[in-house]
Amino acid sequence: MSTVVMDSRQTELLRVLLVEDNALDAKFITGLLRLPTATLQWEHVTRLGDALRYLERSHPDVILLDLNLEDSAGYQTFYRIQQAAAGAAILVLSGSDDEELAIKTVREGAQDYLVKGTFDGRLLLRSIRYAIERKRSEEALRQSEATVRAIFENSMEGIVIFAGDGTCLEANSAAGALLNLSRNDLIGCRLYDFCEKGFEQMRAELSLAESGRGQFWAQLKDGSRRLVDYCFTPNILPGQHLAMLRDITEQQDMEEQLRDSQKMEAVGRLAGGVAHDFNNILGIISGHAELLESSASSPAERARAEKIISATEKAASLTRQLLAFGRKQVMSLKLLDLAIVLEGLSSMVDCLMGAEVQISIQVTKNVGLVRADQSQMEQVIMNLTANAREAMPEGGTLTITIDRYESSTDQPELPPGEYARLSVSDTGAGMSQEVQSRIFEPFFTTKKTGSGLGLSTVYGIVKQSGGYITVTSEAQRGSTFSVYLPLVSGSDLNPAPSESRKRSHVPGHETILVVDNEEDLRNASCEYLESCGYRVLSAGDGKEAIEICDRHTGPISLLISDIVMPRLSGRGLVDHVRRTRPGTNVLIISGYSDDAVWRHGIALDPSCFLQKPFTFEALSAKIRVILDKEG
Amino acid sequence: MVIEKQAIPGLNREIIANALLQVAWLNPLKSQHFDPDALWNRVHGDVTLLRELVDLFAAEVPVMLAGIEKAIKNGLPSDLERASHKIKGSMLQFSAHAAADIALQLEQNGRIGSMAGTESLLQKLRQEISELQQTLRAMVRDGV
Repeated sequence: MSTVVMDSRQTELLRVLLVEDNALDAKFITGLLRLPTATLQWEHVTRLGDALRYLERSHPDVILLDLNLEDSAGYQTFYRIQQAAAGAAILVLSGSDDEELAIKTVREGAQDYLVKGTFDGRLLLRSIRYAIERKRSEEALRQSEATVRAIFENSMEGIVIFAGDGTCLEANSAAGALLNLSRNDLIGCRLYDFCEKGFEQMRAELSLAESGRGQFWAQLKDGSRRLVDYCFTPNILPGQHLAMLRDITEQQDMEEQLRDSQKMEAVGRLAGGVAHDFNNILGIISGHAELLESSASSPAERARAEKIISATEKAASLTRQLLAFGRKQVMSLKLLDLAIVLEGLSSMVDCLMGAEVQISIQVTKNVGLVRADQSQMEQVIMNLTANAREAMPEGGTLTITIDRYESSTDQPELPPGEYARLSVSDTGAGMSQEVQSRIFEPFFTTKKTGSGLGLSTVYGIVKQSGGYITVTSEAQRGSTFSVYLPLVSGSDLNPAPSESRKRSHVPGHETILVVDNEEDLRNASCEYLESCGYRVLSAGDGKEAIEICDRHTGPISLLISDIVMPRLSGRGLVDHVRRTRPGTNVLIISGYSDDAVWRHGIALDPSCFLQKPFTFEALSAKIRVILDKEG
Repeated sequence: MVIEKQAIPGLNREIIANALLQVAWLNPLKSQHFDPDALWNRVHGDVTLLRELVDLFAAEVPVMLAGIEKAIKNGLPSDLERASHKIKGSMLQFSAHAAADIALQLEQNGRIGSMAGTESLLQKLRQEISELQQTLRAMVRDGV
């Protein structure tokens, strides 16, 4: 007794097309397959034409095919059916025990060739199922191969199949493009021949028969080099290895640029922070020196005080450069024509260069206006000029050009747009790659006497102004620094006049509340303001200032306050005063720039801001501007 | 012994077929012309199916023979080849080797374009088929 085991495939409904013109044979075949394990859905046709029409609208799983029909005979019958039913398994059922025909049909895709009278129902059913399985496997394999081929052909990454000696056996177009060859030219080449020593490692790893990944520099026929990231799988077929290649040259360049940029940003923040603290200290020194000066009992004492004041001014200049690098310098943005700025500096440039350097200034007319701080632009030109001068100790030619430059989209370091370009070139010794990569770092210098702040200041100003700076250099040919500032569209060509910086001591009588947590600076400021005739209230932080405000019964004409203070910040204080004393004016003082004021959320007219360190003359003048404006 | 196979459920037909195979050498119908055991084996002892096939045989085979006769009469070898090939397939299905052999000879005659001796072969084929038909009727009647 035998047991019939039926799995899911055995119970699957199979669609069968029987192509048989002999009614008796057709009955025999369908009758033989009347088995409990056979779940078949039959369609019977007697002519090839009927079969082809049926296949246009239906997709049977298997076709049982008699080759000799009324309208077709032999192999031709099989060929026509096969063309029309690519997805169906074909079983040839023939009355001819013709081995040659059997081989031919099976070779061309028939799943089996059975001779009538040699099979029973079970054998035929098994043949049908095997035929369908084989056909499905073939179809799955074909689809899988088509998928792999499509991936291979369309991959953005280079794919190479190569022999143990590195000979490329197959490659996709991306691999060819990566190595600057056509795909056909790449096939047959030795992969190792493109590679510098990094690929030797790959060759060594291949002998271990393990997958691996790494990088190598590919040397191309045109002399260029590309950094290639690769991973490989050895022996995907006996003696054939697969390598995936990706060109990461540009990615690495961009990563380096990003690292540089992040480094500069970090150094800038550090420099700005140091400058802020330093400005507070300078403010104390400067304030007390001014008090000393005003109360000096002898010319010698006054001279000493003046020297202290002079020294603090020089120190303040240094911190301004640091703040410019950290993009925290106070900017007075105006529409500027760089050509006019340069023209105003021409005599200074002449003096700076000396007799041994020739000067060539090439200015394109009507380049357009940029939005920038005039004094900062002057500083940029002077710093770049000084740098060029120092690059030519034996003399040479300094070239300053101003022209219009339009950036296209394919320049990653310079976004698309129109720029005014200021270029300063020297004919000095040039710079190494390493020096170029560090040239804008603060305190980096190649000179024994340099501060290392000149070019970093330029960098900071340009960035703060929304511009870009590039440097190119060639050994023994010199260097060129190019500053790109975005052109302001639709503006008129009237540059703003330079600001008068003249200040003077102006007496006053109003009540002023001075708030600063730097006690020494606060006391000096209060002492000075009292000496000017003001009635002065003082507080060490915002909370104390609010208490004074609430307690004081008379008017307070002006609040002078720092921003960053313990307990309650300047913002909280300003909000309270504006709410409780709407008639009180506000003057913010800070070691940071006015940017920082805005960042702290204080809505303020830029004219109501004074950056530390300030002279008492400047403070005095500022107070009058604010209070007199009110009157 | 007469076994009424039609009344037996499907799966039991297998047991009956095996039993028939074991006693095949005893089958009095077996000859060089026809192998009834092979036929029973092929239809898995399904007498109902065999009856249907025998009935269809009676209807279709005369038509096929007429086709051969017409081809011979009209001297059309390709028609002879096609008609003989068709009847050969059916004879093979019924394990009627002698009839299949004669049909093959007729088919070959048609293929090479020779009509010589084909009438005689057709006569022999009619005879074989006539005897086969009687045997088949006996099989479906007696179940062996």
